[in-house]
Amino acid sequence: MKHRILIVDDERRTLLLMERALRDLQDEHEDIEIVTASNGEEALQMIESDKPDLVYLDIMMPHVNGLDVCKTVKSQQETQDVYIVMLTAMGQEGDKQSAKDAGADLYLTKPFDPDKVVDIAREVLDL
Amino acid sequence: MTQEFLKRVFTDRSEAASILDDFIRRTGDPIAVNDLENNLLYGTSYDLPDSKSPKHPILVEGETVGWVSGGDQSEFVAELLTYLVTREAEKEELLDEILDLYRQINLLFNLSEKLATSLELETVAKMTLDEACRLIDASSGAVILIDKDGAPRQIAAMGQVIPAQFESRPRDGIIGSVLTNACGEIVNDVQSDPRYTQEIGSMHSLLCTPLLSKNKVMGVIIIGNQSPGTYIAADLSLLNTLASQATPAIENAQLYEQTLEQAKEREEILLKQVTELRIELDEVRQKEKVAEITGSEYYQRLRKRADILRSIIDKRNP
Repeated sequence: MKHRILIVDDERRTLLLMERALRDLQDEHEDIEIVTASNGEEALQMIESDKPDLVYLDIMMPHVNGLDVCKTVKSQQETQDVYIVMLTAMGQEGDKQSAKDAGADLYLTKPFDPDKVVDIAREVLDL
Repeated sequence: MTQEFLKRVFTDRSEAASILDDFIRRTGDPIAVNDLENNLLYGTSYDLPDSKSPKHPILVEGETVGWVSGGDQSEFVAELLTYLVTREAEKEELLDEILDLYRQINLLFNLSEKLATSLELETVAKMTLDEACRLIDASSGAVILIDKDGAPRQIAAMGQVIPAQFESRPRDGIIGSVLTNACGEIVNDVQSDPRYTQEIGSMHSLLCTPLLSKNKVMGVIIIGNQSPGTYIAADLSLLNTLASQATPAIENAQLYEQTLEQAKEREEILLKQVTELRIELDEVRQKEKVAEITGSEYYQRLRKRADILRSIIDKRNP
């Protein structure tokens, strides 16, 4: 079974870094597919069209932010089991509660710990 | 590894593949790109050149990672791919460097949180040393503090322990030099260093930096590797950062240790005073008891009788 990981961030460098952090895991397990979205609308479309198992979702994005994406995903029956990890800047402790309220499963601060990103994927995808 | 970069250029989402498609469509030239194992990465079997077709290498830092063959444009395509694969390799290197920095930031953040909750000197020193060895790739190390009298005290050690000889001559050798100059050092060939002394043991390369408190050296942290390796300025900079984070925690732990020691001393003095007071009190009580007994009517009667008996005996035995 193919495992699908979606990374959502409006900053291209974060997408590149997250992809790089997960690439070694992808090399270990060929059944992992990593896809990216650069805004909330695109993320929602991708989640609806091909449901991922795990989403790394940035909170701060223009238009549809990460919290709105999370609320929408978690409120729909078809997608509510998608595991969502919210990403936000270090020290923004208020975001932690907002992420929890939006239904996020986990919270990670940026700059993220690459090892933690991989550990989460291993655990969620049961690898 | 560089062969992987060539494959990546041709992944689904690669812009390079679509640019190449567009270019080949315009020129009408058949092009095939193969890796070193002759696997076709781009083109079709139809495009596969026969043995007479010229093959042009795709080079990354002088190393061939694949071949381009086909029509007149194949040489240009090989050059273009050389450029793209080199860029891909450079991008990967930069990403890895940034991820390493991210890793360090997180470890430092976690360490400062852990240090803030610990008041035991040995624990603080060990946590610092463990993180240093993990972050900077070292197999051994030590945290050494210098007391008021200038005597060294090894608080934590990992792997090869700094031998006792150091204790008698703390200002000698590389560690001594760092203590004296209050400046961190990278020594990548320890045994050839003129300051080499036995306390470094069989370390091949090392990093040593002072623990500075208000410009005063309170000790050093030293880490090293027994196997050949090269430390760079960024490693020393990281060790300096760790040392500057650990120093206030070490000071706090020392202060806590001193406070505990002083409290213990005070308690011992107090206990001694209480014991002395108790003895004095017992003596007073005993005296009071004696006075009470000797002042009683019964005692006085006994005393009188004893006096009478003594006088009778004296008369009979003049």
